[in-house]
Amino acid sequence: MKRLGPAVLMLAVLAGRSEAQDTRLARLDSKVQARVGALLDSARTLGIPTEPVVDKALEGAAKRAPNERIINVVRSRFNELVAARAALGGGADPEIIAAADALHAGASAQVITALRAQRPNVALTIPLAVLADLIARGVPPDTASTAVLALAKQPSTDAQFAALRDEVERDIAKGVPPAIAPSARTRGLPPGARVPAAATTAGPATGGLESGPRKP
Amino acid sequence: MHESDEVIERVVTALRRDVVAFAPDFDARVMALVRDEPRAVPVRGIWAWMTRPRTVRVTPIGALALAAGLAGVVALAARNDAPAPTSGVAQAPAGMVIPASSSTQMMEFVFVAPSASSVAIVGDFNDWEEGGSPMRRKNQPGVWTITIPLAPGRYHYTFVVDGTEWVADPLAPRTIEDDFGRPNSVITVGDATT
Amino acid sequence: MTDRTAAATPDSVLVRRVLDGDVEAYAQLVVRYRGRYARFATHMLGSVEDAEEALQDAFVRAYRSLARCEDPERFGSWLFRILVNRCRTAGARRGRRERTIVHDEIALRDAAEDHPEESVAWREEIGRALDRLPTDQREAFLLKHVEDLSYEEISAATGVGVSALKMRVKRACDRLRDQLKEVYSARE
Repeated sequence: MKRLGPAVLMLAVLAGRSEAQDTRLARLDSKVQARVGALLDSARTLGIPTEPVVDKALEGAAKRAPNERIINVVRSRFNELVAARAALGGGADPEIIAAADALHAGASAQVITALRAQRPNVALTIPLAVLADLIARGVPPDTASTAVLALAKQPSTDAQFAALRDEVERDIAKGVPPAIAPSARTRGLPPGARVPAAATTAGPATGGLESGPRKP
Repeated sequence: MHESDEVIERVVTALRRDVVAFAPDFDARVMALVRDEPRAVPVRGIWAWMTRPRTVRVTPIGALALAAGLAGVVALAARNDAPAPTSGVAQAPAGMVIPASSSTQMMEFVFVAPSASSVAIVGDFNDWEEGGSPMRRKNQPGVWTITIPLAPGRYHYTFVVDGTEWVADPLAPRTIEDDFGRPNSVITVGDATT
Repeated sequence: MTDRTAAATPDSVLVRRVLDGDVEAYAQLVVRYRGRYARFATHMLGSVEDAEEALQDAFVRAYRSLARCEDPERFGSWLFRILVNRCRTAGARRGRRERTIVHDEIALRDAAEDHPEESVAWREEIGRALDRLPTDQREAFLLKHVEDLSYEEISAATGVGVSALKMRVKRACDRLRDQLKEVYSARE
């Protein structure tokens, strides 16, 4: 076990680790390595961040997952990153990664596009992260999407998005069902704030505002 | 035997009608006892800590005042704009960093595990290395810490206790569980906002 | 946006929250089950004070070993099992003691017109007869006829087999009948 001191970590983070990728992949099973390598080539061609793909593979190896599972998970991650970039119409890596997380949680591509349309010149990393975190916490994707979009329609700061998530978290901890916690927090916002009517992606949620709270 | 069945019936009816009123402070007494119970599992018990009045001092490395014996993990943000806590509840959002500048943020991860002999953090930021990055003991007993520089992005991570037990950060947001069977913790470092 | 009235949070959710560290969530479980179980504890032990102590004890023990509650959805039954045990310990510890007159402490509902025998004296007699039952018979009788549990549920709560329970209930009924028959017919 190698101890990575802070200095090394900083270098690794800032340098993009393009040289180090080969070395790290050596930890993987050769079959997995081959598949991941191919995905990374595609990623570079498509201009999507490669780090999340590598990280997923390494995570799978660290958790001793079977090869097939690692490959499936990595491929899903790759697809989500591609879809995220498309929905955002390009963007910085942190935004794309956060958007991919939101998609993974069950948000629709349409919400992401709508968020971008709402805030074309501001980084969406935090709002998208809040969206992902809310859904992971048990808020139905539609409800979470509506709340985040409503906040985006106003001149909200990143801190306000983060505060929304925190307050919803506290409400849920107090016993408010996840399905209604966000609406309690976004009252008073313009009544027109709604998720576009297009279908949500298939995710772990039951979908629709009429659905009950998801089991956390 | 009709009459004797009736006796039992009347007895049961009478007993069922009983409305027992406990003392009005019963609930409060139970909760007072419960709160005094030691944390069953050392790595749990975050919410009481989070909602207890405390001061989050915002410094680049984050000097954090921990009440004795409380388990908790916090990633402190180098936020220069944190408002003073009004109700005594911490204002720093868990798992999210909104930096004032776009430089790399120094993040202190703190984890309390009084009976652990080693704690490591494993995640995207250290390539999920076997054994992760070992945390070191802080002044207080059972408090482990590590400081990690993070550029803007979203990082999945988890803790490894005694080399074997994988524990998600109880305070941080989770990822959806379906990747490798267990949810990770997530920390998001935003881009600098003006 | 649909506004739904908050449904009661299921036990399993509350249990999970407590295990995640939200101690205060336990208060909701206390409120929920204190009402439900106060009566059994009082009938079993014969005084409200003793019942409070037993139920308080049960709540604290349940909290202590919450991680071992195998099925958080059935927290109530699991807590009840602990309470039954606490009541047994309390009874054994105190041995036979003077039963506190229950009617002073228990609020009697207004007796219905067609049950004039639901008087204080009648209630006291019931209390005395109940107190005279052997502990395991009293326990089985209360669980079956007053708390309305099935034999399977009682078996799970007490660890006693169903046929043994049926026997205890029958014997309890026989005794109660014997002791209260005269009082009852005198009232008619």
